[in-house]
Amino acid sequence: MFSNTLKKITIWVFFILIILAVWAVIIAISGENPFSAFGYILEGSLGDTGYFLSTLNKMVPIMLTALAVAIPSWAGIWNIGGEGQLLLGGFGAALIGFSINLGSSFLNILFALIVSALFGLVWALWPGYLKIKLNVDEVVTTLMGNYIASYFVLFLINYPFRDHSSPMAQTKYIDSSFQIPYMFRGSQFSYTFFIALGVVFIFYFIIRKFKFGYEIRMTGSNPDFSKMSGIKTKKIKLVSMLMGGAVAGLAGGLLVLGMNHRMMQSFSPGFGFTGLLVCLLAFNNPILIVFISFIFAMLQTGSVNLELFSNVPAEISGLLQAVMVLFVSAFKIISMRKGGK
Amino acid sequence: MGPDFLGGAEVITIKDLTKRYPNGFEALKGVNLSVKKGEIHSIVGENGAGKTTLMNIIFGLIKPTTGSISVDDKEVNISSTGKAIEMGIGMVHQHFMIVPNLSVMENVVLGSEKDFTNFFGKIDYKSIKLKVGDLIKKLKLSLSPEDIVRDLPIGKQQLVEILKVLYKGPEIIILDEPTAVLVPTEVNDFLDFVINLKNEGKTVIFISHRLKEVFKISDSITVLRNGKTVGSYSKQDITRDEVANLMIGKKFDFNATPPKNEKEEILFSVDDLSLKGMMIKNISFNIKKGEILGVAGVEGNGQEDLFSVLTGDILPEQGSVKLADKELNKSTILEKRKAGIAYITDDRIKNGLAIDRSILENGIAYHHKDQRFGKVLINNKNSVKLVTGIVEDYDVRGVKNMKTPVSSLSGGNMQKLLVGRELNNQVKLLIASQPTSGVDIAAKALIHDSFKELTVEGNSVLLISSDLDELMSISNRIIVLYRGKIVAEFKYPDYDIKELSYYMTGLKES
Ligand SMILES: Nc1ncnc2c1ncn2[C@@H]1O[C@H](COP(=O)(O)OP(=O)(O)OP(=O)(O)O)[C@@H](O)[C@H]1O
Ligand SMILES: [Mg+2]
Repeated sequence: MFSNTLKKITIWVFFILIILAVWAVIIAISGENPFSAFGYILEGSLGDTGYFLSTLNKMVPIMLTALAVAIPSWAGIWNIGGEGQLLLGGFGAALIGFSINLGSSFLNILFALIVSALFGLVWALWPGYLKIKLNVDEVVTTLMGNYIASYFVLFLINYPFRDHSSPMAQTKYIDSSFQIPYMFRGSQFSYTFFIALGVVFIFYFIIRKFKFGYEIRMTGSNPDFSKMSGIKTKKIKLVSMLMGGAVAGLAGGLLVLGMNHRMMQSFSPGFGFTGLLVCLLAFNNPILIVFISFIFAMLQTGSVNLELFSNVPAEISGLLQAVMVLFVSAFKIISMRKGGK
Repeated sequence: MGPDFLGGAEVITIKDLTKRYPNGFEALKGVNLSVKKGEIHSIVGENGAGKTTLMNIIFGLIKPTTGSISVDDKEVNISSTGKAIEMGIGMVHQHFMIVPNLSVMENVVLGSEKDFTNFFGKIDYKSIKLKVGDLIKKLKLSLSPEDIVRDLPIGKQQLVEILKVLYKGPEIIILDEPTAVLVPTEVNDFLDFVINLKNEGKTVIFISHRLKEVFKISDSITVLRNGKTVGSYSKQDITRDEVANLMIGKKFDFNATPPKNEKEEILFSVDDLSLKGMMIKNISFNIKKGEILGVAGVEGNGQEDLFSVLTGDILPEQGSVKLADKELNKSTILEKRKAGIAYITDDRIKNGLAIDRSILENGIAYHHKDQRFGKVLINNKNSVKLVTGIVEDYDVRGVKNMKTPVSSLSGGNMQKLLVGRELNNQVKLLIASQPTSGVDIAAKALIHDSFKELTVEGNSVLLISSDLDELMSISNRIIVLYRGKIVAEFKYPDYDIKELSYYMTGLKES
């Protein structure tokens, strides 16, 4: 038993070293000393409290959009629509934030977050429904949904909800009573991080300990058998899809209430897709999602620093992420073969 | 050892083989085996004895911990299935490995489709069809290259598995419980087919729990017990009873009479049931309290459809299904289960278990609906208690840890877990389809005994089985399905195997 764990750890360490080596080669090719480059990335992501907090901040949408893929996939259904759900959720929160007021900041924030989750949920509803009623491929519908949502939101912030005092396509600011407060002076770090982390742990708990989680797991593993055991597999699939949509919508809401304070063009640099990658790399495991989101966030915040101090462009972080994806997929395939039937 | 007068040279020699699985379980503790060229060599042993493990090692699927394997007197390291195939070894697995959504020919060439791909990457289906068609003809199988595997009855799917293996032209063919899913008529054809392989000079390693089959075709028999070889014997030198005793290590009495717990009151009735586009036409029958009713028939004559209707998977357009006067025809499986019906499906991998989930999770399926297992959270203590009980009562072996996946159990032990789980419900009626497929003699008796025990309290069993011996040994009554209709009914003790087969094959009609 012990030697087996040890073996696994050795393999992982070795594996991480290989990824680092390939990264080093790529950085060297783009004309920078890999060690100093790693230094810049580390410094720019963990170097001081400010950097560290912005890395944690970056984790919020990545973690939640990854979870939005993970929950439905536990039940054997795919949600590639995190990006669109996030955008709509963000818009929903902004809409509430500049149009109503419930009188207390707590209620305002709570209500706006619920609305953002509902917007995301609705955007997962039709693909989920089409899947269980007509067996329409959810990969296609959720993916397509991203484009529809993105153009729809763009329309909304360009025309009916545009802040006309601004030269850019964006909504008005939300009322300050809707803002999730920053925790430290000089940093955008707010309670959003803890809300997001809390949501991940809640779902970790649900999938492991709840009856409902058990039914999700069984449905994902063998739907025919689950049906024989009296589990309503279609309902389970639909509900898990809705939960995924809600979590992605919530990510958008948290970004609006905790950071941007309005909905705007280029609101998301593709968080939904980063989340998808993270979820795949994390084998759908919520705890691993937290760790891998941290690495992705580190790369993304750190590479800004890298660009600042070297002649390596910040886009390199995308390339480094791609290398990681490549290696993890290869590793997955190899271990699948080894463990083979 | 060396060459032998009677048989050929040794093609496979295994010495002191051991296998410890990653979870620490020692499945093989010292196995010796020598297989001669051109013989049919059977491996027998209880569920969990290590037969599949041994075969998987020879086929390069898993690695042994210690010991040596020689092929043609040369020590080899079979590190992958690719290597095994190169050495001329082919294996038909205990559980299906074919892809249900593909056609017969696609399944057969899967993995070697490159041979049919032209320069532009286009697959030449015509020549695949021709080649696979030729092989089917040569082997005299009743398959058609373009049939979709999913639509074929299990017996035929088994033939696809074999076709897929033979396509690669192996010299040594491993057959791991190939007959477990076949009906008696198919079994005989299949055994002839195996003998034919031998006549063509192939070497066959054959695994089965049915000693009748083993004795019909083998040249030698090796008995495994608890991961060790008990001995290897020439067929002439040993009897069936002796083999059975060597397998379980004790004498075994098979008490084969139906229970006598039938009451007058009717528990379950099916009236004028019909299914459009399906095999079932105007079926009516009923089951009394405490009765075991057997359903005999050649596979593909409506048993599968009958089972699907009774689960609620397919809704019949006509007829009624009643359990104790409660109409259940249109109710869901959950409602049927709540009314007191339990189900043993004929294909444990397909819809009887979720093999990559744990033993614990599989053991509580459907039970989990009960409040005892918690309202919102799963009650872990009661779950463990229930599954521990099942594992003990049904003698499920190889359970080191409840959290390990079911796939780490041997086939027969998976079946015992499934049967135990179903019988642990408040069962009024058990609908069991091929309940003893792949289980050893002792476990079969255990399962039969638990069926009989059900009837003591006035509960009943509908037993759908292709095993006539099984049907005749525990059913109070047997009905015969032929082309979707009930064509005959027999009552214990007036069972006549010939008469039954006449009706089953349509030679006689009522
Ligand atoms: N992957 C695995 N991990 C751990 N234990 C395993 C694994 N596979 C099999 N075992 C255990 O090894 C033992 C031998 O299993 P094997 O499948 O070889 O039995 P078998 O003789 O083929 O039985 P059956 O007649 O039921 O098919 C069993 O006790 C089983 O639980
Ligand atoms: Mg086996």
